[in-house]
Amino acid sequence: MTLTTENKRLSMWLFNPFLFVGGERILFIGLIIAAVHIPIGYYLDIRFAGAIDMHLVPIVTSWATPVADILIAWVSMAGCMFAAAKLFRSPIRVIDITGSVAVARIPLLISIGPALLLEPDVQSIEELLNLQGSELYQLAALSVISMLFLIWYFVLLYNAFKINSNLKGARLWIGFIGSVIIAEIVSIMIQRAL
Amino acid sequence: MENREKQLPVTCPSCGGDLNVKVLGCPNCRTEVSGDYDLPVLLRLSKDEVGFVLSFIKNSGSLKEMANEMGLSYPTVRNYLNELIEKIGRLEDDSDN
Repeated sequence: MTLTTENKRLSMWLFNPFLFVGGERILFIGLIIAAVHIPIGYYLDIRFAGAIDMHLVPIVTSWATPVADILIAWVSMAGCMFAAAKLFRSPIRVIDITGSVAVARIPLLISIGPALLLEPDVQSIEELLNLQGSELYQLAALSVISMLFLIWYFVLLYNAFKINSNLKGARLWIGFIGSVIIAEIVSIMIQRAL
Repeated sequence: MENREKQLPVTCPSCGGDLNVKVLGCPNCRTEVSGDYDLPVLLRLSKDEVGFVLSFIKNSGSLKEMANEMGLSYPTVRNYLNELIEKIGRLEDDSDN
């Protein structure tokens, strides 16, 4: 195998692992990744309140919070993608999309590292707006890094939807964008109702 | 000199149209049969596609088994099969016209 094809395979594993892993195996990996959210949320005071959200908060007081967060985020995204694909008569399977959506959350988990390291110590919006010097650069660096991880997350979500639904062209894009927007709205509505 | 594997040409290198069989030969007695025969649809598929069809038959149509054998996910194999079905449909339509 040449270096080029090895690099190509590595990039496929990073951005489209759904080409290689599906069925029970991806659901099992997805369950582990979903479970990892719970202690991370509780011990590191992080909320996953929304299908595409990750926030540092002052304190997470109960184990129930991260459990509810990940369940709502996971089920709303997988459910919306499944429904969107079925609407376009795709042969999508629940097991594949459920596992894939959880696996796609890996960038969100990794982005917690830089967020904890670079987060400026501010208590209010006023303090945040008045940041200067190294803390301002720190905040700028954190914004860029967070954006890169968010893009990686969206690429994984897109590929999860594409491979599992086998939709093409306008149906693929409408289904993907629509399901992400609806999943975010639904997950935030459920969070507020709780 | 590099020993390249021979592949059955199915499209015309000049105009890109489908090729037909004009001459068939017996390697044993050297008899030649000439005529104008259409290539069967399966022979118009690429080597990889024919390999996929053979694997499908050998695995009794189990995409799950094929996915394990090929190191790919079930949806990837199913998508490839759907593309192949579409391509065979197009080739059959071309043959009918």
